Amino acid sequence: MDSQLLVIILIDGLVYASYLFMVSVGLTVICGVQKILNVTHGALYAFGAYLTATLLIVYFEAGWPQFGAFFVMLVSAIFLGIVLGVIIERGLLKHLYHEDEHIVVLATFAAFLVLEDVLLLIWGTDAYIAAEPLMLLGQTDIAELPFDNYSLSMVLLSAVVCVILWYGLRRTTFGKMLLAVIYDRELSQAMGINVTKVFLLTFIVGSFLGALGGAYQAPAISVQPGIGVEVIVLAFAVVVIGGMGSIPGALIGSLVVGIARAAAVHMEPVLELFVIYMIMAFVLIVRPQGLFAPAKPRKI
Amino acid sequence: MTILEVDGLHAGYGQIRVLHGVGLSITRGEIVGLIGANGAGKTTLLKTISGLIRPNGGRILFEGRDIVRLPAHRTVEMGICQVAEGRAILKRMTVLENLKMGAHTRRDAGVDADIGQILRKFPVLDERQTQLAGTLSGGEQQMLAIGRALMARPRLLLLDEPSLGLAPMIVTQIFRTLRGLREEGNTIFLVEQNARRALQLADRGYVLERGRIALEGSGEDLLNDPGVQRTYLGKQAETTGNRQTRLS
Ligand SMILES: Nc1ncnc2c1ncn2[C@@H]1O[C@H](COP(=O)(O)OP(=O)(O)OP(=O)(O)O)[C@@H](O)[C@H]1O
Ligand SMILES: [Mg+2]
Repeated sequence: MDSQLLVIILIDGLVYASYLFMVSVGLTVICGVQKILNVTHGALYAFGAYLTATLLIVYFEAGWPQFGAFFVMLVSAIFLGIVLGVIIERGLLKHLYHEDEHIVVLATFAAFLVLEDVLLLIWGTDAYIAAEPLMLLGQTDIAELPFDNYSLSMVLLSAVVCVILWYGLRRTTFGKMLLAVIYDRELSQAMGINVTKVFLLTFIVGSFLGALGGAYQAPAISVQPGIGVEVIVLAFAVVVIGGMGSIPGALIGSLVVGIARAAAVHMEPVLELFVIYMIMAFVLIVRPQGLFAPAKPRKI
Repeated sequence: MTILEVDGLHAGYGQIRVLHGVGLSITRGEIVGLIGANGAGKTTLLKTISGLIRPNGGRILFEGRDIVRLPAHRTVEMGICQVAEGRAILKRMTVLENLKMGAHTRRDAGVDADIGQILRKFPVLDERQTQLAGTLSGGEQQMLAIGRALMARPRLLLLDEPSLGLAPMIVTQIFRTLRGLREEGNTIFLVEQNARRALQLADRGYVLERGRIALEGSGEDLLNDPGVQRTYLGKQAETTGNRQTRLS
């Protein structure tokens, strides 16, 4: 293997891993705290991408300061995280916490399908392209190979998200309350933690992260129907590999899948998707709870 | 002065009914013991009082206010703090983090001072402040659970079998701690399998049988009651009791 190939695999892998981390970390946080597999996460990603793409097209036509585009992404994600997050959690999940896990997955899957249709109603089947931010940042040569700075900035963004989450969980009171709920829901209640509130806030944060993943990815892709499904499948794979509910797990799972996929793409492209599911199957066989499984989910 | 009054309490889990009209009262500053066989509903009663289980009927008055509909986090705010069965601590957090979590509802400035006080009360914890709670011994974990509950400055402390699975020497230590807590003016509702110890310590006691209060009296009266002796203090039946024997 020549060194250029190695560089390209590592950098592409890292970029793809960052993207995977962005879409899976919200899923795993929700999974850890609320003990649910939230399929609507894929819809949050798609909404994030669509809303951002639409707003960016308007924004750049209006000729406003170019770097404000990043602000548009952030605001879209916050808006969607709060609005959709509250609607889904208060309107649906709240009523299902005492139900069987399978019912909850089915319910979130149903909600996902509904949201996908809402997407079609709002945006139709056209593809939206809003690549200005991508152009704006230009390219950098690494080992004589050109890379989009926008893609590289994805690595920076997920590193920032990772640090903020780590700090938020370990160093703030709300983070500790959240950890307490992850470790032992009933004990947390007995200790006076308002679990209902923690659930809602967690879901908003998780949904925001899903929407942010879509928002930031929007300029780099053609935003069209089906992106939500693709993302939820990949995010599930990462979360299963890393261990459901574990943030370090999502990080390592993303890196493993990202690098493996990049290696496949550049060496044996037909294997692109195969490697991801092969890793998942392998992990499930040797370590069914995932690489970084946190404390076992308890049912109350 | 009555701090807690429970009246006609019915509760259970879904279709399963566990408590059938339980009534009791607790006066400020006393330790009230509750004994009963496995499955009698002791834990269910504590969880219902603290708001973890919503009752099907009945009244719970805490300091004169009806708390029957309040969720757990509200009853904690009001001053009821429960130490659940087993080791009610966050095993993956440190001793210090556990104590701080115990005080997370408080907004006053006295938290650090209280931590110091708890650590003086339990010197074993003082030496292990930054150790993960899950690595403590069983007795230490129970002390931490009690210390953590005290951090909320409860006006009523609910303890579910604090001596469960501990060596006799450690049990003695735990009961000594409870005695000390009463001397400081705390009010404690103590659920115990270890009936003898509990009744020796308690000012008053209740016997719960199949979800009903079968007997009540001063700790001493209950210790001397032939039915209690046979069922809960008997040598053969040990402390778990024999559900076949009817108390009268
Ligand atoms: N989560 C639950 N779901 C259904 N039934 C339950 C649940 N928890 C307890 N029970 C049942 O309720 C009854 C009373 O249980 P509870 O835990 O209150 O008894 P206990 O007096 O605390 O017993 P022990 O001394 O063993 O702790 C038992 O028959 C038990 O099987
Ligand atoms: Mg019990």
